[in-house]
Amino acid sequence: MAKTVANAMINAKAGGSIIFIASMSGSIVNYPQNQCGYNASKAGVIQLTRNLSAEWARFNIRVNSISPGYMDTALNRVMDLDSQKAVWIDHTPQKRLGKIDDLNGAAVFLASEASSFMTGTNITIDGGYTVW
Amino acid sequence: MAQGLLESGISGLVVMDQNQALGEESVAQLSTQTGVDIRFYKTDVRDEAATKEAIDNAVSHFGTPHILIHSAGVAE
Repeated sequence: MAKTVANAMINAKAGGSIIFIASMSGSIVNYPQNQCGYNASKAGVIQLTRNLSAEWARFNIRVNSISPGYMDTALNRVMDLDSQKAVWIDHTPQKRLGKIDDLNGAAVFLASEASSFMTGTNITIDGGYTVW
Repeated sequence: MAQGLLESGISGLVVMDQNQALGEESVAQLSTQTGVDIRFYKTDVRDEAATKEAIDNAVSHFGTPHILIHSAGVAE
């Protein structure tokens, strides 16, 4: 998908901003649940972000990623996960799950010229989970 | 995130998702709220040909894209 959109941007000589939603799971290992497939794929997203940022910088296309922590979304709104959620919240300095709007600011920032010298970076939005 | 971008003044938006009902509902809601031209394409990002076709269609309608957000996710 990135290839097709980037091609359109390149052909139009317009530049642009591509944002990959990775996950803190691309950098740390979650606890207590095992999810190696998901985590490895998210690590792949982060590395792909860096590679594409280098390949496409000359076309004025910036490529960055956002790594959310535990968010209160449909992916996690399953009763089976309630006891795990208590553990996740306990391990988060801010003691809560992320709200769906918590990524908006970073997305708009990365999409705009406010981040014009940023490419190949990863912004972690996790309530501090990865600092412990 | 789509809402945040709309609030910051983008002129067109394409939403691509596997879930048709949810996607169409979200797009209708956002479009009514903001008056911006928004399209929804039911897409499975694992299908390369179909994804490319949806994007080509979007580009022919809206013109050159400036922002792309990849947010596909799977729960095990």
